[in-house]
Amino acid sequence: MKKIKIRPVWLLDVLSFSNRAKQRKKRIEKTKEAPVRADYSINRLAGELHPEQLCLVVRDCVSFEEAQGTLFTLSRKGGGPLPVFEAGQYLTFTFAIGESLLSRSYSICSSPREAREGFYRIYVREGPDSFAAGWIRKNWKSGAELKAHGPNGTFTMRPLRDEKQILALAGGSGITPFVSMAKAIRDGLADFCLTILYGARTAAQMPFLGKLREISEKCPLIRVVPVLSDVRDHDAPDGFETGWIGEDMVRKYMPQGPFSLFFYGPRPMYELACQTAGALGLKRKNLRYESFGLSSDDKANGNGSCRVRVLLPDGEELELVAQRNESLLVAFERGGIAVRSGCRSGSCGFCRCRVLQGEYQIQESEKARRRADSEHSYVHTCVCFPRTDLCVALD
Amino acid sequence: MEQLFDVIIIGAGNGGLAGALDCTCAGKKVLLLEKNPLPGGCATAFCRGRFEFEASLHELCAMGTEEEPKSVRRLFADTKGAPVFYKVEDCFRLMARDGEGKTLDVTLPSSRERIFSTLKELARDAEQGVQDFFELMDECAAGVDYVNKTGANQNKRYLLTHFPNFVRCGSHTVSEVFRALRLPPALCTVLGAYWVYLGVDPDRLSFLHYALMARQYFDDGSYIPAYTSYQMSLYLLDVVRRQGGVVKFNTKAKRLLVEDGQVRGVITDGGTYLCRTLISDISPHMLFGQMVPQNLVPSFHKKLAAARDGKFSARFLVLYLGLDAPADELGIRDYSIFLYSDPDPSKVYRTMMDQNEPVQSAVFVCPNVVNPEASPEGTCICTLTAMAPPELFEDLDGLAYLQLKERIAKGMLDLLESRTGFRLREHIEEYELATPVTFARYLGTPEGAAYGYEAQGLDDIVTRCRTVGEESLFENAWQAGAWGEFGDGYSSAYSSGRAAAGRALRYLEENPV
Ligand code: FES
Repeated sequence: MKKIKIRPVWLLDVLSFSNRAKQRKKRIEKTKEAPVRADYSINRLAGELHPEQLCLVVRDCVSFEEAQGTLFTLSRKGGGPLPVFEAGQYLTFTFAIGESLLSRSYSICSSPREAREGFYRIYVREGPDSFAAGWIRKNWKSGAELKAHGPNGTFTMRPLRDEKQILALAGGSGITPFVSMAKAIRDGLADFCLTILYGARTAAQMPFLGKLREISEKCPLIRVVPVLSDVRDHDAPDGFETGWIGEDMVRKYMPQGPFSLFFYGPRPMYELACQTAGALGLKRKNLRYESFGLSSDDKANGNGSCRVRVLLPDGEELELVAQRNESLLVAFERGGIAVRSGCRSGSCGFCRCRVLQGEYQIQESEKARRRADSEHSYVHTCVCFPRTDLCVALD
Repeated sequence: MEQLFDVIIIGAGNGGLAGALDCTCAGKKVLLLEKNPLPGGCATAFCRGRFEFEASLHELCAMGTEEEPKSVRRLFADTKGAPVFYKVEDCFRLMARDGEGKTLDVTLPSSRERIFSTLKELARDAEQGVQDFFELMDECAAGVDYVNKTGANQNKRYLLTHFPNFVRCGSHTVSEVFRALRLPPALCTVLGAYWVYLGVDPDRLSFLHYALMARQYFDDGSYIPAYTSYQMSLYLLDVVRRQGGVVKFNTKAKRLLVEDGQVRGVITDGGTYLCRTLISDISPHMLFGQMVPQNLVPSFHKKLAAARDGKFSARFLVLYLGLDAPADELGIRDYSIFLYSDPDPSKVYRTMMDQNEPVQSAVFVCPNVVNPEASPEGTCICTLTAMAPPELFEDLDGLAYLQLKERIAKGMLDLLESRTGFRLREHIEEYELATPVTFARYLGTPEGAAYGYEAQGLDDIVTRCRTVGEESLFENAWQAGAWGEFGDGYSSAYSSGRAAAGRALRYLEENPV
């Protein structure tokens, strides 16, 4: 190759090239010694938004007897602002009941702005098989200290994805994320129209109805329609619908123009929401849902029990008995093994562990597992049911 | 009694995993510590709805072919569970706007011959320039090879007679060398566009660094794995475990035990472990700033950290889109498109780093174009990556941050649609935006930097490679990953991890118990 034509100053280059290492050393030597800086504003913000753990205190609790629920107001232990969140996100609490180590997630039903003012609100309702919720209602009293993770979750209104009009279908305590969304709209933190079809058996089982009506009176973007399933038409008070929230009801209240259907509730209701969305010709992206836990259908996986050998991160190992019709996560919790959880429906991945031996079944309806995880037998334990004896390792 | 390991590695990113691979392969007792529940660091994936998103990988270099594997492919040589890799045919498509609203639109293929013919079309008299350019890159590669092999004993005369142009260019920037080569402006635009993968603009980027990386990329093209880079991370993890390595996730290194200038162990939130050597796959700033009492930090490293403070490389914004239509239906034909706001790549950088300017340049990637398994049938995934000035995220409160994120996401989508003509908005089924705050959260790097130290000036890669031998963190501790001597990028991080492992193994051999 011919020599590159080079400006005269480049003649010095040979020297400067071989001197680069020396120059580097000189420059470092010349710098004044100082403590190494590890504190940066961006990292501080990351830590504030996503603390490793939250230590919370129950500031106040209000029980709704007929609804079998309790509304808790929580603040930070020692006071001060709490991490902000997106309306629709949840907190995950970890606690021990006897030998069991449990974790449960509850949607935040206060406004993101109120987090900055120092409190979150969550609502805990006792269902037919919600042993943990019953215990929480009895044991979390004013002043109780709680350990939590979060806020987390993806059941939020996203402006680039969702339509500007949201039709929300909420069954029972499934109302909580929408209460937070309504408050976020009221507080000017979100800008969309929210129509909520709020279903419950009776009016007394709608602890949030008063608050929602109050907000909607002041804020024209929000509308709430209470729907009573256990009350006959002519017995219904003014302003209430009756029956089940199905296609007809949705058609009656759906916004004009494009909208997204948001659904939060137990799995059987989800099927109904899907059918409705199908009948209305909604695109898949316009149906957002989050279910808490799995339906009993999903759990049907035969009877009997399996033995599960668990290799713990510290090298210890222990053995548990797991029911075939309960998820590995539940078996771990009963066995007193601390495993993180979040959504309890297969999507967040917090409960992930590795199966070394044995057969299992993954709930088909929930598939948010990384494909490489599947290849390497990592499972999300909340949707994984044992079929044979298993050996699993917790990282 | 605490357990004693031959090597403790902090961080299971690309550097940590590659280092662990070599150390366990040599039969050493290895402990790999990772604060997250997953391996990989940047080399990871996340799920939203029915989509699985690649977190960071655009292009995997140093792969070679199946018949003639190069360094990165050789890491995945063990056939058990090895990822399938798909070839990315083109280097990139560049769409650079000029002041008059015209757009230079060029697709740069890979392989030298095809690049030749593309560039020849672009400017008159380009031929000689392109030829010189490639010959110079070859000479630089050979020169660096010689320097690396001979180390301090290099023969200056030999160097000058055999690699004269390499020596001449050795301390100059990409822009300076382009000028010296008299490359026509259009070629500077196209060839200079590659800077974005190195995080430093051509006006400041060392030509040697550029030449070493770009040459591979231009000649060989690149690859991506079928199931995202997380598949590569899990594969490496699996091999490390099979070779007897101990790996602890959810375990954060808190403090180093230092005695007489040596690391004796690591205190973690899950217990204390003793070691004979240490490899750090986390940033030196965080290692020395958080895990070592200041009076035990070597004076050299305190000075080095002070000299480097504020010189972290790229902070990124990444918009991940899960779309409910296939790529071809949306008119997407290219794997990657560089959307630049100016024909001058250095100006592109300066605008990117101006906090008063909204995002104006970005890199678009659609893995479905080369990887049929990138997302479920009837859908596709796209990502848009831009650099962010860190000031944008300083002193923000949480609510303001969440709102800023949505504004940025919208701005990036607007940019993408208006520059490419793609209509994507109504197809967005899932999306997510990662910011420097996101990177800070998962990686723990200062200011969420993802590319290590800025590879220029003090930290010019070629200089660092020559001095790394004398710059161990402690007598028995070495740096791996993007903060290591080779800088950012998958192949570089793997290489620095393996180089650190080499140093640890040598140390163990020279200092038997
Ligand atoms: S708890 Fe979310 S995936 Fe299991």
